[in-house]
Amino acid sequence: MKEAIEKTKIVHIALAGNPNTGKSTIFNALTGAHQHVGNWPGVTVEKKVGDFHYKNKEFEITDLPGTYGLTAYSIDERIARDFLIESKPDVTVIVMDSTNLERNLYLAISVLELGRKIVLDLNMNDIAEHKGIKIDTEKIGKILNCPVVKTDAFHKIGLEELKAAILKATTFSSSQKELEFFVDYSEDVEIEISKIEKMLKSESIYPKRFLATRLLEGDPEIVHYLRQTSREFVVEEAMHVGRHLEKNFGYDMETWMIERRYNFIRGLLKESVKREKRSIKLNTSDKIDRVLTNKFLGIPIFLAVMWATFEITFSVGGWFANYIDAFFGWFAEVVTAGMDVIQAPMWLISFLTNGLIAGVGTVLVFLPNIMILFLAIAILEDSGYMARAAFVMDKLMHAIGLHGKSFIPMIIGFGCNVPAIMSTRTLSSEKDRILTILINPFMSCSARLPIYILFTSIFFKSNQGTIVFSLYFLGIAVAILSAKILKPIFFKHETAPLIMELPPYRLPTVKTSLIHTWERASAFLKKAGTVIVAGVVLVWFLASFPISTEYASQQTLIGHLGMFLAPIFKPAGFGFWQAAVALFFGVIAKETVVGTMGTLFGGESKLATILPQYFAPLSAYSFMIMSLLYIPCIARV
Amino acid sequence: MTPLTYVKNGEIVEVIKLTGGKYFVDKLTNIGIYPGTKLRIVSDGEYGPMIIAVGETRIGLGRGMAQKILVRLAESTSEVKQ
Repeated sequence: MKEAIEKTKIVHIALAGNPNTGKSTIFNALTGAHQHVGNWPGVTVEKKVGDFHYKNKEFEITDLPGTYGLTAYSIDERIARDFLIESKPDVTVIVMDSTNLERNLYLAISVLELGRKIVLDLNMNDIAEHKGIKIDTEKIGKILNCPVVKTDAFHKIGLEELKAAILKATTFSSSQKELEFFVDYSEDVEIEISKIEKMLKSESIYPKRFLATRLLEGDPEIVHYLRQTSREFVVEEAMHVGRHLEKNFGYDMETWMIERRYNFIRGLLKESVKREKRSIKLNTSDKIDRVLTNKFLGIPIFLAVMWATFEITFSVGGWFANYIDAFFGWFAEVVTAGMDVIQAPMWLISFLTNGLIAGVGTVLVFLPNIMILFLAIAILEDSGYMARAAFVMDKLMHAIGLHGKSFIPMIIGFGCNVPAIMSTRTLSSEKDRILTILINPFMSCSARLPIYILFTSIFFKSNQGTIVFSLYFLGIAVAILSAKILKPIFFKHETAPLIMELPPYRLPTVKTSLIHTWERASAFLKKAGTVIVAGVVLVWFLASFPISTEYASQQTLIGHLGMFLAPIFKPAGFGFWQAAVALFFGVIAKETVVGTMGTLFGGESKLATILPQYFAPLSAYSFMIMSLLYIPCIARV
Repeated sequence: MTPLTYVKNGEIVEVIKLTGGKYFVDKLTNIGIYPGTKLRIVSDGEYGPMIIAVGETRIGLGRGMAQKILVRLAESTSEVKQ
């Protein structure tokens, strides 16, 4: 940690904490717009870094993944641990849920044992006070030798104090090599710890005490590390000692060490926390849970919620879509007229109106639907229902050899498969992760939604929501089926057991829901702006050459390509070249399917009249199914 | 001493022992369930997963996991530990 300070004058801060403690709210409140998002090296786990100024000092803050501890059992915990060890942040802020200090302090203890300087941030203090929990921050700070502050990030309370505490923490015990903090692991164990510490001799990366305790617990990563640094004999000795102690204690070392830590925490809390006695009764959240996760009602309720989501998406979204459609029609006319005035060449006018405006416009028409779907998903997530959905689906997921948590990536897959695959990292079993990723493309992502909307709005006007719902359902069914088939072939292995925190139900705020919606919608727009434009331009080019032919006719390059591909799709009931071309370009990104059709038939507004000439309702449905099930987009691969 | 799966809605129990592998023990202790913890059963799930309360936190637990948590009925008047 010393070099880091000398190297630059920037104070490096790491932000750690359990999931659901308001860590990202703190991060956003501290950094504002000064943040950038990337990935942790080697894994697709989002890494957020931001900075802020306070009292003429520059602070750089890295948001660690939400974790419960620092073991080597999950990717997130490993990332957090590696960062704390390798990057040696000057101060680690631990964001805690004030209503659940016992568990939150466990992480704090782990970080302290790593020898890092910490600031304890007791967040969600308002809720704790409301629940009659009184916390003596000074006492906690004295025992753990670190600054402790109370915040309520949601209402932006206590942030200045937090900054001051961070600054104060940089001055804490900086002269000492390791911080003077330890949990007493009982006399017998302490003797062995100091013996192992001596055996370790020189050690530059970890605090020796940390190595010794983790070694006794049998932490696989630490064992590996010591073997690599040719200290196999220490590992042997620790294993020998561990077995001996286990015999004495009557249970395994890991449980012992963990219990000692919790013991320490309990003692700490007894001195520093007062709770008003209240009668225990079911709170509202629990009552809702008994209904929503009921064994008879759980799944029907979930299906009803999803169905309602789609109904709303289409009825409300369609209303907006008409206006956007009209706008692009008008815009294309204006451009044509404008270009005529400046006497632009015909090909340029064609490129702009037939190519760009028709293509991109066709896709953007669906933006309202997509926004509403994203908003609905954000509300379901923020209200806490999404976690219950995973919980309710656990049994069903188990039947196909996955567990309930795999369901969340699949729901996110409705938005886009790319973030869905990123979210599989919460699955602790590697095999579950791979299987979930493999079946994810069958989930109807938002890119396929425009195809559904386009076709259902033309062919299935009266029951749009239901038809689309059936497609989503079909996707899920196929995903389940393929999981069933893939599982025994590739992975002969039992599924990881289900354990997940269920956040309390709360009314989602307008602001956070909109932020979440926007995060996803902007990703869609970005894609519309890049991949789709490129695809549309390519289609236009192919549809315009050779130059003497009529635009998008059968004699153009694209016509030939389509004619070549069309027979493949004949059995599916749409063996004409335009559809073949649209699906072909859909391989690049599903968004381009509709864009391509728009380009080939001369704009979204004309599709409604032209398409019925080519498709019957049945073949339209099969076209949609084809879009659902064939090759996923390049971005995903 | 009974497995957690036999406990009914609303009852409060104390965890006695976690009878599982390293991964299991680690997962549970990190989330705040270890010998001595008091749990309240929010939903016993009958044949499906259970919901239990640890202080203010609600945790969904598969039956397989619940089976490996040995508990003892605590007095129903005592308060759930924080």
